[in-house]
Amino acid sequence: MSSQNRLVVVPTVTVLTVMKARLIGATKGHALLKKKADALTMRFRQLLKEIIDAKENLGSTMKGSFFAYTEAQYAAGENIKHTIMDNVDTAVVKVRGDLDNVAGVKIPRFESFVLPGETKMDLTGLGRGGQQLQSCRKAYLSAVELLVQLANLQTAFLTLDEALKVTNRRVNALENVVKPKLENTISYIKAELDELEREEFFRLKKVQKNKQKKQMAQMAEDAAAAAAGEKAEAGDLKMPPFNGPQGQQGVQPPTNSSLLNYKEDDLLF
Amino acid sequence: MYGFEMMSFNIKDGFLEGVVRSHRTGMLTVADYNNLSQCETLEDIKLNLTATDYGPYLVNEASPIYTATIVDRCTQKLVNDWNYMRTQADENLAMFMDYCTYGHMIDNVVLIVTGTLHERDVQELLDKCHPLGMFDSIATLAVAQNMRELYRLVLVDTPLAPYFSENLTHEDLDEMNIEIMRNTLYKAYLDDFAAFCQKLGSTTAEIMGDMLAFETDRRALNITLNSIGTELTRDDRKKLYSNFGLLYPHGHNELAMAEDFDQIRSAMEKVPAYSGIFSKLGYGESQMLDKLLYEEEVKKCVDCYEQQFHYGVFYAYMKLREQEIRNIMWVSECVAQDQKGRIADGIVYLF
Amino acid sequence: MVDLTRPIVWFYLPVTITWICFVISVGNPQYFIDYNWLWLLFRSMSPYFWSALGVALAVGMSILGAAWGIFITGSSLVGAAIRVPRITSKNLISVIFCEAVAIYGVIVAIILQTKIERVDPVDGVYDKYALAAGYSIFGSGVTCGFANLVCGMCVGIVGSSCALSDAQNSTLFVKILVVEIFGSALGLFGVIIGIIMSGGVKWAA
Repeated sequence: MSSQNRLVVVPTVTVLTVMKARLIGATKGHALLKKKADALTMRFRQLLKEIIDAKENLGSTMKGSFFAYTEAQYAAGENIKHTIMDNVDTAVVKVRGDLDNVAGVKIPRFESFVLPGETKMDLTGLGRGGQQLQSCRKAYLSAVELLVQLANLQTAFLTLDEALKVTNRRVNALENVVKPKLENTISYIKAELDELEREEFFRLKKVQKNKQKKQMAQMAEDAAAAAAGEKAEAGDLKMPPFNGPQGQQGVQPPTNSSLLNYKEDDLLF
Repeated sequence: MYGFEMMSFNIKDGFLEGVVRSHRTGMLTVADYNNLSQCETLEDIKLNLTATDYGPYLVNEASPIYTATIVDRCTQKLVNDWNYMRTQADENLAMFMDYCTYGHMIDNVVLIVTGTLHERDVQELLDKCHPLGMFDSIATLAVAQNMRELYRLVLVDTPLAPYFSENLTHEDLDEMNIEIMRNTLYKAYLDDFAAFCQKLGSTTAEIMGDMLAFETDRRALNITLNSIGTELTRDDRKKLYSNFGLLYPHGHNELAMAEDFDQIRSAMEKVPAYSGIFSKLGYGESQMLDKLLYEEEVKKCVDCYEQQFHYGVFYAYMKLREQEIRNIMWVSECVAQDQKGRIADGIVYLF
Repeated sequence: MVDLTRPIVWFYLPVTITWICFVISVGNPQYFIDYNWLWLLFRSMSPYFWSALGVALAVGMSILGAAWGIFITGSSLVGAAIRVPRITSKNLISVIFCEAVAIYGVIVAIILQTKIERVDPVDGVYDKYALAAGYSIFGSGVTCGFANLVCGMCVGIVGSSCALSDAQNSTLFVKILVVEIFGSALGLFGVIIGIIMSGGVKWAA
């Protein structure tokens, strides 16, 4: 289990410090992102509320403006739409694009504005229905304003939604994947280092014991040799092989590391 | 000398008078409107209308039906009836019926003029024209590339030629506000129509004089009402009033000076015929005025049927049918937009 | 042609006739009207001329009125019947009323022409009785003819209105029919007077 949920590292003290640093970083990042996500969510909720309001408002406004159009048609005749459509040169209402910044997320913002100056629509329906046409025009202007506002809100909503999703994913990733992984790694490294220490201790004790044994044996041999007298020189020849292992005591880490390597292979597969 | 048209009228126009009068039986009654008002969907309206004169025109319409389709089909009915009578009519009556449609013709020509100014497609423009205002050479209007050419073609090819030649120069076509142009033409048309009716004499002159006087006074009133607060000057405004009607000439002077609704009201109330309409309005409100004027027009049209042996019924028939189509449009829109509370605001009962 | 529907004509027509009389001056140019000469003129005219004219006017005018009435009614009836076919058979009555007017004319004409007897002029001059007979046949013909002419037109116009209003509202038919009956009775007055007038005709003493 621990093999799945931790980084593949060499359990050394250096790595341990690196990991600890990373864990601190991750915690800090998590806190920051959490804050951002909270800010975004707040804004998101607010937007949602505004959208609902705007939509409800739009429903009645559109209803009103459609009816104003009906009234205009009633007063000015069925064909008035063609007259109006043919008289349009440029748009009177235009939309300006802008950027808004919410907790580091760039949100596009639209703003409608009415071009100043008289339109030549003023005299449309002079013979009949002019008033209705003007009120219809006003109704539709307010409807367009609302539509732009709604578009603005919806776009902000979508953008925020996306940003919120990413941020939440990051927060969750930090919280549920990165941080546990780092923690596991750290505990793993700690455990491994402890294990190594224990092994070392044990080995040292064993060596000491061997040494003592050898010493005892030598002492016994020495005593025997002393007892044997002349026969001791032939026994001395056997000493170098004993020296070898004694020399090897200084180069014990390689033996240890090879043991470790072996273990790691086991870990890997 | 009244009475003599009784003996001579039927020689040429008796048949058509019978036809046009019997069309009156096909018009929607109060009961029909009550049924229509009860409808929940446009399908119901269609179903209700199939039981009336409009039936054959609506019965084959595909199921998702729209107000525009209904209005279009109902207009088609009027156009078909009108064309049927127009082809049977001779001499004076034919001329009279043509005069009745010149109003639509002006609208169509103005539409094409603006369309040409904005370089729209010819076919598209022709589709938008009102079918009653069509004439043979209307397609050639749109062929013209520039205003000068258009002016020449309008002059040569349309029955409206005199109105253009007497009131507009070809520079005007380029520069004049399209609405002022339309109303200038309309004024010339109404003057001409009134003169023509007076020439016809007898009952026609009497009835049509009354109807056209109302029409022109209503236009004057609307022009005044709609030009308040615009850049239209008083003199320009006065130029758009016709040279007859109950308001001519003193009422026109007052209307030309009027700056708000109450001044218009005081100008109009000096004419006994209109004081009744304005007494129904509260002070300062002008929204209901349209309906009241429509009602007055309908009343005059219905009165038209009280006399026999005159051409006024043809004009009245057209006006009544148009009002009926407006009513149907209003009811359908109210039903479609779920505004049934407003239905009563728009319907003008014909009979 | 002179357009009789224009009011001005009805002012100028009598004026013109008077003026023509003035210019031509009947008989002696010294008098406006020379009565002796006029008496000579009328005395010398054949009573058969007057009686034939009376018969012709009686039948001709009646039929003119009837025909006029029928086309006034008929054209409206045909127009209205396109949309409301039920009115056709009922409104045939109006046509029949007009037709009756023609029949009155024919009857009076037949009665009048049976009154004509043969008398011979003495020295080229007819007897006063014969002259009186000629005038009364002429008079009864004219009375009946013109009465029936206007009666026919009257019935025609009312019939036309009857057809149109029946098309709108069938309850109106009977009411207008009553009006029409009274209209058609007008012709009968002419017929009665015509018959009475020609009743006392004696061609010889």
